[in-house]
Amino acid sequence: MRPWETIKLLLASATGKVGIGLFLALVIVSIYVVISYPLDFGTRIWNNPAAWADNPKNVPPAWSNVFTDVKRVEHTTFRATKPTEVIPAQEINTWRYTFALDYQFDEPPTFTSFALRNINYYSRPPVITLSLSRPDGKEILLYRHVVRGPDPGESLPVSRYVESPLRVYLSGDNTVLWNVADFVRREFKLDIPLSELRGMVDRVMFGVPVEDNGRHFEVLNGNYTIIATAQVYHPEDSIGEVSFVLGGSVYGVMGTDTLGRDLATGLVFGCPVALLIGLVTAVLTTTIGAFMGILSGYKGGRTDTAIQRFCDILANIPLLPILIFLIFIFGQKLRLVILVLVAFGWPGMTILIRSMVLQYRSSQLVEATRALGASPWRIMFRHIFFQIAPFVLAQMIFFTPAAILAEAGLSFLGLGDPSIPTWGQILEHGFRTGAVYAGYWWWVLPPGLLIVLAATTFVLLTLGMEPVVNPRLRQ
Amino acid sequence: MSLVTTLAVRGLTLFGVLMAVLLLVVIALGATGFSDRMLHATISEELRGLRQSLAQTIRDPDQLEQALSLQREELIRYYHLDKPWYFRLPDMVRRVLTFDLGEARTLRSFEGSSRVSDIVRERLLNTVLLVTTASIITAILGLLIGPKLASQAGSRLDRTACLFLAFSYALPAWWMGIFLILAFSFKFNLFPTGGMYSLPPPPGGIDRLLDLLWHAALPIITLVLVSFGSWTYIVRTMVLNTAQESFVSVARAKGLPEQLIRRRYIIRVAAPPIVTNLMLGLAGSIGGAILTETVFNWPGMGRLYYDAVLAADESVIVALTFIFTLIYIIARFILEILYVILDPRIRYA
Amino acid sequence: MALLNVSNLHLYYRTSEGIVPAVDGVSFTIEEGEALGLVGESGAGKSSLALALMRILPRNIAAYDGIIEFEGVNCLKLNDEEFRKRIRWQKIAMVFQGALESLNPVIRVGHQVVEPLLLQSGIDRQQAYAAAQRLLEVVLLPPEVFHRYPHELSGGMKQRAMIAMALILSPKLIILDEPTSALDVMIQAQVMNLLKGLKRELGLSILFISHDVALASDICDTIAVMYAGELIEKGTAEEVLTKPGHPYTQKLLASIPKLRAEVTPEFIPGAPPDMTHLPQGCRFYPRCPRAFEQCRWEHPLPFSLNLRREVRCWLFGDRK
Repeated sequence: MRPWETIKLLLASATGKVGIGLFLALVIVSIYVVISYPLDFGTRIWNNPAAWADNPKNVPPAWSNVFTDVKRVEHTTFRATKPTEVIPAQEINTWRYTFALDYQFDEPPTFTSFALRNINYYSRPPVITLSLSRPDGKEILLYRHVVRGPDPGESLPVSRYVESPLRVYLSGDNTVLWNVADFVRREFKLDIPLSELRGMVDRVMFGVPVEDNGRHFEVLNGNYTIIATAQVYHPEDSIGEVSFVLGGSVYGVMGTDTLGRDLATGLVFGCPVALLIGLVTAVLTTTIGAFMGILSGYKGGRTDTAIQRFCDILANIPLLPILIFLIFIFGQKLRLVILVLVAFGWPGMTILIRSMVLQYRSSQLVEATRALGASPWRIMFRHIFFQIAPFVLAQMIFFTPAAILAEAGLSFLGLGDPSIPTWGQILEHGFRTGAVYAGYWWWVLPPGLLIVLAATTFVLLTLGMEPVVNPRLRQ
Repeated sequence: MSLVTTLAVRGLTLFGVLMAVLLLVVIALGATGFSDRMLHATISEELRGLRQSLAQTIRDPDQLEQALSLQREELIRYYHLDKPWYFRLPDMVRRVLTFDLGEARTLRSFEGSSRVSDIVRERLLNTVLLVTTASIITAILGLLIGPKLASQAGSRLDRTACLFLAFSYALPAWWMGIFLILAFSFKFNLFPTGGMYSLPPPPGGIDRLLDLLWHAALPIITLVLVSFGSWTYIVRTMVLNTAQESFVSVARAKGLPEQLIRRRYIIRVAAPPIVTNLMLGLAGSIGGAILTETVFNWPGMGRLYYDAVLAADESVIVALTFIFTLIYIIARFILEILYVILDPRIRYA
Repeated sequence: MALLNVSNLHLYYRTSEGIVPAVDGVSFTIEEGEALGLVGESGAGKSSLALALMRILPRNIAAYDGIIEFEGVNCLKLNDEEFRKRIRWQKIAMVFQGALESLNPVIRVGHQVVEPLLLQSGIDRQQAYAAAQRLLEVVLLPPEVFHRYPHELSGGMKQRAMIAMALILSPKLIILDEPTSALDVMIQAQVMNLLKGLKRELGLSILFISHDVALASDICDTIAVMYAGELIEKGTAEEVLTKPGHPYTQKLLASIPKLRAEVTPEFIPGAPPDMTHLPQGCRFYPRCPRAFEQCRWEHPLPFSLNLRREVRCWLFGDRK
């Protein structure tokens, strides 16, 4: 069958349509990932706890708020590289960064933090302040910080917070604690001892006291503004980034894991990896297998017997234990996994192809071609291969999910390649840290579902190809 | 006597597989220096024990050290550590073949023995229990549902069923297990989350059996759900193909009752290719067992493999790789025999 | 009373292109001891007729009616179970086309032969096996064939085993669908002699289906010619072969190469009609060298020339 006919056949059945649809979806996501993610995403970002330091740990996705009565706080990060306004004055320019927040949650944030990155100054170091403006009109001055002055021998401009940002964990900072105690005393006429206030900082920031004893704060909904100001003494001074993190109990599209990693990014990254593993393995296995199968079937004789015996032995080796063993010995690398899968996979294909070739070998078409003087290679590849091509294609598609599942199984046992996050690895991490028993469904279910989805795509495609392979089912 | 020759050839090939795996394992171990490390570790163990006993008779510390280093050299010569690794090949092969599997480095059997054969023997039964039950249930389901679907091939029931079966093929066993645990253990609290018995296990008889069944329920369900799809599909397709053969029409023309035709002309004839496909899926069920036991904390050989990998216990890993292959080969061989019994056409090839 | 009386038999299939009237109003009779040859091109409906008689119907039938009277019993009035128990294989048996695939590959030949007999009530197993063994002898197969598997037999042996299998319940009528088309000429002769012997000695009635008119003429007393689902000519073998009435029959006979004559065999131009879109008038009209206007618009009726002779052609009817 011509390739175009095959595609038309696939589109004819419902299974085929769904299969192709899913496949296209996977491909589109993969292309997106390849374009927008860095190649070393695994080692540099995913496995690097610093990248996820600001995230809450083990929280469900933001949309799960829809299903609960209590509106949990959505984790939000505010960033600015340029001030919202610049207030010029004689010697000092005040740069003002404002972040607007409409706080409609039923709980106070789990934490708050504030970070500065990449400050350069030429004369006096900038002075940074952070305050919170509340819907009830009150304003809390939270934090004041003078950037460290130049060390002896340090040349201008002085750079600060370039490799590691200045991160202030407001919820636990002593300065903030003093300021908040002050605020409470001034505005609410309450005297709360510091020891008690220490765990309540965020609740106070975003709440109002309830009458009875003033120890209890209720969440205050409304428009808040986070204001950061920087007093800058030289026109060429620069501040790379100012950020404020509102610690939430739900995060993002897919929630987070124990390290605070945004599962959505990890899961999306796993898509092209899975496709790659599946398709590369399938294509290599099928190509080698088909080639050997045709060679074996057509040549016959000693070549045939030799290849047959060899394939017999290889095809009979149970895959998973050997895979585990080899990974254990030679190290956890994705290339090795693909290599082993291909090395032990092609004999199965060869045996199948060979039996098909045997049928065609004695067909009249081949006899006629041989009588016309065609060389054996030509017969093998132009004619026989042409006949069995649809079957080979179907096998290729069929083999893909097996490879994806094998890699996932390996990862699940902890033998995955740590530099390349895959769905199986995300799942393994969850299993190992007990996410299953803690009920963290958002961590444990999506990777599996995605694996199933990817595998199902190819199974559906195979089902759709059934009429090609089994002509009796053609309508 | 071609029957015997056919079987003999198959048997030989399978033995060849075993040898190939063994060689692969042994060479991999040797070439990467693992076996050296293992032997050094074994020697150190022995010397430690020796130190204990010698210290009771030899008081002088220098003499003690001398005796021990002499012994160390003895042992190095004994284990051929002074020669390159491939010298030890035949010996290793022989030991594995005679099931002299050595000692585990960190793992222990339930009773505390560190001998690998003890550890394995304890758990073998647990795995067999799980896998065999699941396989029998799967087989029965497939053989019941497959022919029904085949007789209505192309109908909506058939097409929807095939979709579900395809879906089942795509399900990884271990994820299914996790999902079931989340759903039925965690959310609905119907089944335990793992293990083989409750702690402490109930004392005797019926209670103990029920407890076992209660714990075995989810893992078995997982195994069945995952393998039942492709198996049923295969039975259905083979039966469908066979039912379209001419001799089935002839059988009908002969006035044979439909029941008989189904049994003797369709299922019986479809049996050999079904067995072939069984053989192909066999390797998968080993993998499935390993992963499912891991998820459910079932103390079988699969879980042992996982623990051994986590603990990097070389001797257990090697022993288990070998044993898994051995089991696989035995099962294959049984299936081969079955195939030959079922299909007279290959007996006289 | 005729052994078999078929009257106005219809068997229609439902296909994706439409309804195919594979057997369209066929009527004929077979007496005891008579061999009727059913000849025609491939696709004329001969095998369908056989299947209709045996009531082996595919899943996509659109119509199955008419009268099939066997020894006075109207078979179509029986339900499936009754037909299976009383008529099928006991009264009418069939030897299928393509013996190569007609035997169950995993059961020994002898067991397949004896199978229907064992299902009859009150039969002693030993006697049944003996009967099967005897039949194998009758069809000139060596006795050890009983214990062999089908793949161990040659084509001719398989065909003879099928004949034995058909005879196990001593049916009165046996249908043979292209019994020799897969065999070489020498085996063909053997099988034909065997059949002639059986007809002679057992008084067996035969429905012999073939595209090979010459072969049919060897054994058949009467010949019926089928075209596009209809019987277009019937008569004694001699009459049909020496004085064919229908133009199709004439063309068919003229297409047989003659060994000793200097005549080039003719061919019939055109192709058989598309069964889902049959013409209004005579189905042979587009290819008939002697057609005229009436043939185009009116479907010809069968016209009797004498007691056993019928031709469905306007040449023999009243011209309007």
